[in-house]
Amino acid sequence: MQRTLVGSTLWYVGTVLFFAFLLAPLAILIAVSFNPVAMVFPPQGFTLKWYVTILDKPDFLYAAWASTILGVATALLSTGLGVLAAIGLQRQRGAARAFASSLLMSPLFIPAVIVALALFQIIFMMGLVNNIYTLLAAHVVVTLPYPLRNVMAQMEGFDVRLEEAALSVGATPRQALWRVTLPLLKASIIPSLIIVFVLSWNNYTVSVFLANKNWTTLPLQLRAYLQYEYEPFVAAMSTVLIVASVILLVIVDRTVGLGAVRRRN
Amino acid sequence: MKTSAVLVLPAVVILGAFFVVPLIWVVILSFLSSGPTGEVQQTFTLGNYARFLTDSYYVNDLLLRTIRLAAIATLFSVVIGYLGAFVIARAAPTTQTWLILLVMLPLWVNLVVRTLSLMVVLGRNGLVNQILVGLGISARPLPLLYNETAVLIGMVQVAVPFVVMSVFGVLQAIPRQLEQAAMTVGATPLSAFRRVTLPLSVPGILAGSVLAFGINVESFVVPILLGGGRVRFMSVAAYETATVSNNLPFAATIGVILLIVTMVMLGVYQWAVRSAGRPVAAVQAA
Repeated sequence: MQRTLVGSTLWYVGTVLFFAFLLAPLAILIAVSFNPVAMVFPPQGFTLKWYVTILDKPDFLYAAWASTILGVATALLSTGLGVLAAIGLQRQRGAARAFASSLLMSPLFIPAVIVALALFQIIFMMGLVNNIYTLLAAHVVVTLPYPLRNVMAQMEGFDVRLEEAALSVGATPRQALWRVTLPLLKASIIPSLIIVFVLSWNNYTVSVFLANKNWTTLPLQLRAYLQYEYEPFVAAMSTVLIVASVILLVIVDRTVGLGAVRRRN
Repeated sequence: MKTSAVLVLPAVVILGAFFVVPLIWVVILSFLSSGPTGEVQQTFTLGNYARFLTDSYYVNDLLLRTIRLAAIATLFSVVIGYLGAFVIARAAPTTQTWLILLVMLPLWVNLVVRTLSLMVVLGRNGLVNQILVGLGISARPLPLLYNETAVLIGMVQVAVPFVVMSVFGVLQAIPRQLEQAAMTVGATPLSAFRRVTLPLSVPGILAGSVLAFGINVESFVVPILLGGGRVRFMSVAAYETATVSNNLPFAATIGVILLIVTMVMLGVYQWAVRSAGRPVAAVQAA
């Protein structure tokens, strides 16, 4: 495109405005976390005291622990189920395959609040108590489409003959799965694990229906705290979460590349 | 049974037990009535739907507001997201990688954190008000938080990265030579964009808008935090009806109506993709 001076100035102003709209609020929140006084930007000083405060909040530490356990469990379970299902679906044809794959993808198209409401009501009706397992089940259900789609996408270029070759030289089907198929699928399994962990770690809508006092996750704890406290502590807590997200994002980018992750949308 | 079916079975069983069965139960529940103490009565009724659809509060302040705000937010998200995607698609390859990383960053950050960051910016003493008052545009801080505008800004912020990713993928696939060819035969850059690139990116726009609308219409965290309880949304109403009012059947009704809205929107999208698909395919083949 031909660029006049006015045109290219507009171009850069537009680009800066676009990224400012997306990222400036986060940058401001980080800056506010160093403000000794109040949740106001620009900060009227510099302090790290709010970060130290985090260590004095057992509720937050416990919620962070709960979120991590839940995230890891969801990642393993959801990715495991997704990988198995993708491998199985690959070998099927016709109506059964179409039915199973659209069933497994359907949580993507159903509002999360309805999935949560449905589980909440079933649990209520059956007189069960919300616990880590119901929370885990809900997180697995809403995240399952992501690993399934990632692995299925990678399987499209997958050469089934590699597996057949392993079988022909005497490998059992299980050995072929562990030593040939799964290693070849690593490029979609690892990003899937991370995506599911992040989705679970960040989930609010599903968790709020199914969490209880013993299993409060980090987003729930943060939101609960925001209801009656509005001080730079929440900004500091948020900054820790932002930094953790950036680190995960960079790890994924450096190891498997964001191309693998981008398919999730 | 074939081994391959055995591999799919665990996922299907889990989804059946924790997704399909509960979902069917929600639909059934929406036709049952609730007793005075919140117990579910096993009698069939259309009362919940009648209550929802005859009360202007539920229809106007809840359902139509949710749809209206989600639609407006989608429109803004698509325009802003398209511009962002276009800028990224035209950047040099190394810059591109960085810009994509920056666009995806918010998607990795907790939604509560992202919404909180907007509260800091839009609040009474927030940056926007400081600028407005400082420049003398407004005599006193404007109420930017806890209203529909705040919720709209929040929803646009959430949806834009999804639109960017949808449009970017499509823009990448359009050969730049097409635009250049249009310009060699006399088109201005603007008309080359309008008559070549824009029509070819329609599939990305459609995919981005359906994603954005789907995310916006089921918004939960954004209206709670940025609406401050004043901007009622379907998801929030379903949650409160189930947990605070303890009226499970009516909560189910709100959920089912939200589900119907989502399904109708997906249907419209499918239809749009089919009708928009042909001319694009024709141009690509040519």
